[in-house]
Amino acid sequence: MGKEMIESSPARLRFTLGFKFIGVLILVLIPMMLASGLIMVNQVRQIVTEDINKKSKSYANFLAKVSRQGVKEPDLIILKRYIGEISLDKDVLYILVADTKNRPLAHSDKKTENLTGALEVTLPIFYKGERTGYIRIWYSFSRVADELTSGVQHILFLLIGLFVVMMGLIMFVISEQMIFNRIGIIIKGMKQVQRGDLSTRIEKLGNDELGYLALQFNQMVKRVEENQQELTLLFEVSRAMTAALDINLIIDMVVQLTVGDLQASSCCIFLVGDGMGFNIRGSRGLSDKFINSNGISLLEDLAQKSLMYNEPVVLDDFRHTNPGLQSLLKQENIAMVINIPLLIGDRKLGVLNINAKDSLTFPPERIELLTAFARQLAVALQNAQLYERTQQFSKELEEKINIATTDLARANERLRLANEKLQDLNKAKSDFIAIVSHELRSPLTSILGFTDLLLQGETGALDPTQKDFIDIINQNTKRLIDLINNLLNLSKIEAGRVELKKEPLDLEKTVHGVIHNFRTLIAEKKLVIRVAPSAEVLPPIIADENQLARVLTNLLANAVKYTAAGAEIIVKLSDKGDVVQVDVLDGGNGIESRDMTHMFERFYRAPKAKAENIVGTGLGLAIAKSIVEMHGGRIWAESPIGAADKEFFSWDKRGGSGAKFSFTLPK
Amino acid sequence: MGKKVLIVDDEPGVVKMVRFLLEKNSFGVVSATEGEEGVKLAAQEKPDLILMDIMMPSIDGNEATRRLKDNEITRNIPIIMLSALGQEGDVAKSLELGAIDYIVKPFHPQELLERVKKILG
Repeated sequence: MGKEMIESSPARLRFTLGFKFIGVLILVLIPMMLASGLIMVNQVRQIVTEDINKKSKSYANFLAKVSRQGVKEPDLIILKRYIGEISLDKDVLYILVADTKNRPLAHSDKKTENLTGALEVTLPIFYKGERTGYIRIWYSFSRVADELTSGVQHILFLLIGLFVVMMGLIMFVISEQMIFNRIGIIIKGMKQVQRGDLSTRIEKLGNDELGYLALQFNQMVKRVEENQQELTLLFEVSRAMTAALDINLIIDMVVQLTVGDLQASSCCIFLVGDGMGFNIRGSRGLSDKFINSNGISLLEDLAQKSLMYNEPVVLDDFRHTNPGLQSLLKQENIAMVINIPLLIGDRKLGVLNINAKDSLTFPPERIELLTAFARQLAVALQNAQLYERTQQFSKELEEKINIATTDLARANERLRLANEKLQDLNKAKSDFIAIVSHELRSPLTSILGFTDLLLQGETGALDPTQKDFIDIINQNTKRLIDLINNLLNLSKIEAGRVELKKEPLDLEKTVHGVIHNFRTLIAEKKLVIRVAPSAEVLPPIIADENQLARVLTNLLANAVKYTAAGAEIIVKLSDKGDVVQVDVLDGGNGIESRDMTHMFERFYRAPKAKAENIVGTGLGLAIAKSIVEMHGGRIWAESPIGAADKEFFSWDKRGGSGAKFSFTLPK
Repeated sequence: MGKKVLIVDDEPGVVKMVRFLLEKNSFGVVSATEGEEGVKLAAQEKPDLILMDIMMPSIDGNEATRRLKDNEITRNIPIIMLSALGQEGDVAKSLELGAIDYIVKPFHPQELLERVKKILG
């Protein structure tokens, strides 16, 4: 469309101006020239006529002077002599002096017989104001003619000159117009190129310099167009390959591009593999013969060598390479080998090898272009490699996860089964304990009942030995009952079969109630139990009273057991902000630190307690712990034995050893 | 003869011990070693108090209590359950069914005697 559009160019304007100028020149100059020619002829004639007239007058005057007397008193000889002298003038054809009566007095020799056509001048001769005669001179007209001819000749010359100048001018204008036209065409072409139409070509403009210029212009534009096409292509391929994440696809694109579109005769891509291996990954345009005759490995050697450089290595002179390669390349018709290292920073990914039949196929600027392209290729390859690795990694990860998941599922299943089994076992255990405890209870009821009855003397008095023995049976029965009760309690708590009946309760009242149950034992051992109530009014706590009583019972039973006869047990209640704390301090020998950690385990009994033969099931503290924790509280024991800080026992004014059992309950 | 007490328990030792204790304290005692027999005996003897064990073969103490309370003749006889620890649920059920008290086994004979005396005045 750009081509069809005709622009009102300044050149065209100048052409029209040129034509107008020439027209005006012709219209004005020719009449002017003709007029001036005529004027000039006229002038020449006037000049000549004037000249002759002047001359005639001077001759006449002269003759009049010399002849006045001659005419009056004629001295004819003198007159004749003068006439003879004047007629020496070659213009003068004939001179006649006559008197007033037109009688000839003297005359010259006639130079020609025929005086017609001659210029005749007649002048009067005066003497003392009196006309005494006249003189008549015939002039030859040839001089006038001569003069005229020469004048006309001059004019002609002038005209011819002018004409020549004009013609020259016209010729110039015409030729200029033609140059303008052609330059205009070139300018038009340039403008089209300028607008981006690289398909613009200028028609043949002849064989002169302009024609050459047009030719060069065409070649230049063609080159630019090719470069542009190549750039566009390279750009598109770059973009496509950067987007592609498959190495083989990228390599295919590149070899297709270089051999198919960039006029390379063949192309290979070598990549540095894992562990620095160097392998061909793609090629195009190489003959089977070349490939079969080890050509590739020779190319590979060249490429690998070029890896040492960080810029393209161009070979177009193989005279110094090994003869095998020389002949192979010659066979393959390769005149130029370009190896461009594929670099990402310092990392060498491989080499792009491009071969051409003609070393002119890839001038330096094209190699530069290819180098830029190779950088893109390196980036694309790196991306693809990274992607491949990521894919591989994620695949491996997935497999691992699958395996792990399967393992986990299996483990879970095993765990579930084990748990089920455990639950079954636990239930069986609880059932077993419940049944066993019941089955034990009935016989124990009999034993306890009968020994009680015996000891009470219901069957008559016993002698001391009998009483002692029955008493031992009775005591051991009680112990057995305790054990069974505790065991059953714990098993119920652990089986989660205890539901807390929580309600607000007065802790102090509960404590006193529990202590009341111990009154017999306390009295037997002559112990003192002192309740040290909180300085503040204790808030009511929310707890299951029966369970709380059980905790207190177990702790107090412990304290009673370990406190020496006559000593004091202190129960302290205090408000600790979020919780209420109960401390039970006994007057025993304290707890060894090694026992401290096991205190609350089932069936744990301090070795010392065993050694001292103190009766116990080893379940009381475990039950207490379970109940306190069910309430969201905490239970622990402290003892000054081996403890650096005895400060917390300062409230016990005795400064005794003993042990302190504490638990907290949330308000 | 004083007040009559029926003891229903499958454990002969317990029955013997309770019989000895109560007879010694001037109570008349009849006994059964299983639930069904206990229910029948209660209707025959019309005791003033029944001591009923919970866990027994054939029908248990609760079932026996239910039947006794269903029967016009035995309905008003007070019943004390003899239970073991770990049978709180059963005890609660018994109390619902109409038992007036319970004693946890094993018990001191003196404790039982006090409860019986309290009821029978």
